Amino acid sequence: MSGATRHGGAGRRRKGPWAHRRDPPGSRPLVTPAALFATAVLVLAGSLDAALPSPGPTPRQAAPQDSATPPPDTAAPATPSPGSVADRRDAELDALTAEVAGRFRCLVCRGQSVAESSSQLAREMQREIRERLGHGETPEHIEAFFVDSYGEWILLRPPARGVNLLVYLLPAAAFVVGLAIVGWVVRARRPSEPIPESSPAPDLPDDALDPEDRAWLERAIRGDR
Amino acid sequence: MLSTLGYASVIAALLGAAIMTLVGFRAGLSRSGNAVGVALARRASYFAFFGMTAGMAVMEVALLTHDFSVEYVSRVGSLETPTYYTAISLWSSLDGSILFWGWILAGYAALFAFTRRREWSSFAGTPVTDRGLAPTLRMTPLITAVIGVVGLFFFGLLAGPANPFGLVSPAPANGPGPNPLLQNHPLMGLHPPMLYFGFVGMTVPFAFAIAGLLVGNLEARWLRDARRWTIAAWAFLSMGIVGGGWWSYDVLGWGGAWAWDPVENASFLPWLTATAFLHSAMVQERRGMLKTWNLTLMIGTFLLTMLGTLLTRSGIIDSVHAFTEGVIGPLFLAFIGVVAVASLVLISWRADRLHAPGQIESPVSRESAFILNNLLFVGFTFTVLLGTMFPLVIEAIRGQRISVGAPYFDMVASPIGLALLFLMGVGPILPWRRATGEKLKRSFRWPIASGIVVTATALALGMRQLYPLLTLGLAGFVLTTIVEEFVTGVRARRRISGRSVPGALLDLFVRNGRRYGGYVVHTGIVVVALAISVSWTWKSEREETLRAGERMAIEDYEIEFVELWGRDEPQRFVVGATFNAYRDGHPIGQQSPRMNIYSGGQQPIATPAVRSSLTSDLYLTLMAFDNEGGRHATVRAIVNPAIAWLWIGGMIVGIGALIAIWPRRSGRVRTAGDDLLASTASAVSTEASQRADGAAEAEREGELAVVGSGGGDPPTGERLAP
Amino acid sequence: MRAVLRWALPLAALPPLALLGFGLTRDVKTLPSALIGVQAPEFRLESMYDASDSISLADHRGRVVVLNYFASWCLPCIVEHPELVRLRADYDPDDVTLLGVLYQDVPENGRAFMRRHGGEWPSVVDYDSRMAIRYGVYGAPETFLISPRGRIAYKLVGPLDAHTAPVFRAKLDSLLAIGDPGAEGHERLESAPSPPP
Repeated sequence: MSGATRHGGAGRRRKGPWAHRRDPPGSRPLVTPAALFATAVLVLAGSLDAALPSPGPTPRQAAPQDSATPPPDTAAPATPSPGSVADRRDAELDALTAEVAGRFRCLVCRGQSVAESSSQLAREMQREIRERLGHGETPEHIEAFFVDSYGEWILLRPPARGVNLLVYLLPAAAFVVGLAIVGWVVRARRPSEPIPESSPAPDLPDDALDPEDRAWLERAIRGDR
Repeated sequence: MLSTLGYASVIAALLGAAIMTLVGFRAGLSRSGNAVGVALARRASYFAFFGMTAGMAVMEVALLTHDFSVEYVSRVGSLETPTYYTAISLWSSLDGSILFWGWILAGYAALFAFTRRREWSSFAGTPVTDRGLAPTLRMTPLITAVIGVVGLFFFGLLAGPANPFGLVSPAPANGPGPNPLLQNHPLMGLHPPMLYFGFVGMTVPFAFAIAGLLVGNLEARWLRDARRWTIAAWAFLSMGIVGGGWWSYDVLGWGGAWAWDPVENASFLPWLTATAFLHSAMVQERRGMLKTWNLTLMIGTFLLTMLGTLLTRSGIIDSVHAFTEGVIGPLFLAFIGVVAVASLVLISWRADRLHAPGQIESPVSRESAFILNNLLFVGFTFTVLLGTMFPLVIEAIRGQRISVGAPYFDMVASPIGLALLFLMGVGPILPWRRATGEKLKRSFRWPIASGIVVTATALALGMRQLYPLLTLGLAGFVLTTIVEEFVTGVRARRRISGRSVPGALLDLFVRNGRRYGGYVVHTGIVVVALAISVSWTWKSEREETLRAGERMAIEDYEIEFVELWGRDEPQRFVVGATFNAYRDGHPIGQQSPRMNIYSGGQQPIATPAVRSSLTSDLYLTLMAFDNEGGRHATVRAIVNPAIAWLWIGGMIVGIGALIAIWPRRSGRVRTAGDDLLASTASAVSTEASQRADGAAEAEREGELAVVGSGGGDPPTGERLAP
Repeated sequence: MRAVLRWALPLAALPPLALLGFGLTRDVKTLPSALIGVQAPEFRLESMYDASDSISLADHRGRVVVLNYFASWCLPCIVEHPELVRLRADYDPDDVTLLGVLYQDVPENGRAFMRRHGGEWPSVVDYDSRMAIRYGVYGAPETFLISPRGRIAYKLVGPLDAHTAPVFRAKLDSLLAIGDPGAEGHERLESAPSPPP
C-alpha cells in the first residue's frame, strides 16, 4: 500500500521540509498542522474517555422479578415514596447495575449486552449483579465472578492483559505510522516544473503520439478547435 | 421442470461469463484492439444477464407457487408464509442470495457494456493500430473480462456447490419457511437488495483497476467513469447500511440501531474504503497523484466485499447473520486469496509506470486534507477489521475464546468520527495546492464562530459530556461551511445568468452536480452524526410491570396498559399488549409491542412497537406477561430523541449521491472522439489544469466553479456515452 | 528496495489468508466451558416434587453426578429425554446420580414434563437462574458431568443424542473407572458441539 507520490525526472535533490515554498509574506499555514494536532488531541481524548465510565442511557427503574413463563403470580410492588435517601441510593444502584450489566454479552441474543437484552437469562443476570452490588461487591469482583462461570468470552471489551493488548495498541500504532507516512508525503517540495515540450506525456507509453497528433491535441487544449 | 429450467439459465449465464472473459481478455490484451472481439464480449454480457434474469424469474415463480421440488424452495418456502415474505425469501438464505448476487453482477456487466456500446463504431475509419487510441479502447473489453472472471466464480458456485435449483424428489408437501427474524418487517424487502447492489457494484471499479493495471495507463475518462460507478455502488451501500440499522432498530427490540456485529462491520469496511477512494480520486483527477494508492483502494474495496461475504456465509464469525457452513466458505477464501495475490503482483509490476507529474506543495491544501481524510478512513478500516478478526487471532494464539464488542468499537469510532467531521468542514474550503493566511482567515471566520456559539450554547444548557459537545460544535462548523459554499455559488450564478435564487440553486446542481451533490452528501452525514450523538446521550429507559389501567410516565410521554391479547397466525402465535400512549397529556394513539412464538421450539421473538416523530421515538418492548390471566404485563419503554433523523440523514446522503452522478447535458452532443480528446488531453498535460490553477484564486470566488469547468470537473462538459 | 517490495507485498497477503483459513476449520458454535476441572459450585435447591424438601450437591459426594438442565418449553430437551431414561437404566444409582435442574420454568410444568415423557429421578428447581449463572449455563439443555470428588469433568451443551451420547458415556465410564481425573490440572475445552438447529 504505497501512498507515496513520485516525481518524474531525475536529479531533484530533497531540500528541507518547508523550504522553497513561495508563500506571500505574512501568511501562516496553520490549518493542516492544526488538523493533525486536533486529530492527536481527539485520539487522546478518546483514550481518556474510554478509561472513564461512559455516559450511556439514564438509569432504568428496575422492574420487579418477573418471568415470561408463568411465575408464582407476583403482585407489582408499590413504587417507593419519592425523595427518600433510599430512593437516591436505589437510583444510583440502578445506574451502576446498568453500567456493569453493559459489560457482559447477552448469551441468548447475539450482539446485545446484558443491559440491553430482553431475554430472561439477561434479566436474571441483572438481578444477580444488582444484588451483589447491593452487598458491596466491586464491579471488578462481579466481572471476575462471571468470567469464572462463563469464561473471558462473556466480556464485551477484552481485558487489557497479555496478548489482548494488541487490539488496543495496534490501532494507535497504525495511526501513528500512518501520520508519519502522511507527514513524509506532504512535506513540501519544489512546485513542479512545466513539463518540457519534448518529453513524452507521463501517462502514455513513450512512443504514444506522433508529432502531428500531438500538435492537434495541443491546439485542442488551448481551445482553438 | 422448473428445476431444469432454472439450472439451464444458470448454465447460460456461466457460458456468457466464459465468453466475456476469454474474448474480453483477447481483445483487451492485444496491442491493437479488436472491434469484433469487443462487440462479442458486449453481447456475451447481455447474454449472461439474460440467463440470470431467467434464473431469477424461475426461482420467484417456484417460490410463489410453492414448488417444493426445487431444493431452495423446499428449504425456505412454506405454505404458511405470507406472499410478500415468500417473494423476498429469494435472498433470505445462502443459495438464493448467491443467485441474487449473480443476477446483480450480470446486470452491472450488461449495463457497463451498454454504456460503452458506441465506442468502436465512432472510430470507424480511424486506424485502430494507432498506439494512442489503443489503450483507451482496450480498456472496455478488459473491464468486461474482469467482471467476467468474477462472474465465472459466482455462476460456477451456482452451477455447483451452491445450486439452488436442485431437484428434490419426492417433493415434500411443505417447508420450514424462512427464519422468523426475516418475516417480521417489510424492510427485509429493501435492506438486502440495497446492500447487494452496493456490494456487487464495487466489482466494477475493481475491474477498472485491474484493466488499468493491465493496460498500464490510467487516463481521465477511466478515472472519471470509475469514480461514477463507485458513487453509484456507494450510494446503494450507504442506504443499505442505514436501512440495516433501521431494520435492527425496528425488529430486534433493544432500542439500538448498530451493534458492531461482525457482519455489520463487514458491510461497513468496504464503505469506508470506497469513501476514501471517492475523495482521493479527486486528487488524482486534479493533480495526477496517488494513482497507486487509488488502485489499491479500488481493489481493496472489492476484496473487502468478498471478505464480508465470506464472513457471512462461512462459520468463521458467529453472528445474527451467519447463514450456514460447508464447502462454500473455503471456495470463497480461495477466490479471495487468488484475487488478492494476483492484484498485488500486478500493482508491484506496474507501480513504476504510474508516476505523478506533480507533488504536494503545501501541507495546507486540499490535497493534504484529502490525504488526511484517507488516513482516517483507512485507519478506521484497519481498526474495525482488527476488532472483528481479533477473537480469531486470540483463538489461534491462545486457544481461548474472547469477545470484542460494542464498547471497544464505540471507543475507537468516536474520536475518528469527530476528526472526520472536522475535515469535512475544512477540506472543501481549502484550495488546491496551497492556501494563504488571509484566504483562510476569511473562509473560516463564520464557521469557527458558529461552531463556538453552538458549543457555548450547549454548555450553557447544561451539556457536559465531551463527545456530544464536540459533535455539536463541529456540526455547526461544517454546516456553516456548506451554507457558505452554496451562498457563494448562488451569488456567482446569479451574477452570470441573472436567475432567481431557486433557479440559480438548480443550476448549481445541474451544472456542477459533483460538487454540490457532494455537499448535500456531507450535510446528510452531519445529520446522521448529530442524530447518533443526540439519541445516544439523551436516551432514557424505564421498565415496569403494569396492570390494566395503570400508567407509566417517561420523559414527556405516558403509557397506559389496556389489555393483553393473543392471535393465531398461520406461521406463529402472537401475544401482544396494547398501550394507550400520551404525550404532554394528549393521546397520541395506541402501541402494541408483541411477542412472536414460533412453532419449532425457538426462543420467542419480541417485536417492539415504535412511534416516531421528528423529535423523539417512543419505543416499547414487551418483556414479560402474565401467562395465566393476562392481568399484567412488563414493558420496557425507551425514549430515543431525534433518532428519526438518522434515517432522514441516510436519505439525504442518497439524494446527494444521486445529484452527483446525474448525467448532465452539455451544449452539444458528446462523441467518443470527445472522450478520447478529453482523456488524452488531460493525460498529456496536467499542465493544463496547473495553468488553470493559476486561476484558482478566481475559482475561490466561485465564478469558475459554477460555470462547470475547473472546480474538479474535467475540461469538457459531462455526459455518459451517447 | 523496489524489488524487495515487489515480492513482499504479495507475500504479505498470506498471513491474513491463513488466519481466515484457520477460522474456517473451527466450529464457531461451540463455546468452551470455563468450569472444567473446577470444583462444582455447591447448591441446595428445592425439590421439584416436594417444596418442603431440598437436595444439595454435597449429598451425592462420592458418586458421579449427571446434572441435567432442562425446561418444559425446551424442544431439544424432549428430544434428549429418552437418552436420559436409557442412561438412568444403564447405571447403578449407587454409582451414578442423575439429577435434573428445572430452568426458567415452574414446578407444575416440570412435573408434567416428567410425567409425560417418563423417567424417575430427582429434580430441583433453579429459581431465578441463580445456580445456572454459577454453572455458566446459557440455555437448555445442558448436562454436566461431576466427578465423585465434586469436580466438573465435562459439559455438554445441547441435547444428549445419538451424536453426543457416546462421547458423554465414554467420559462417564472413565470417571467411574479412574475416580477423579485432572485433580490438579484442568481439562480444557471439554464441551461437545451442539448440533445445528
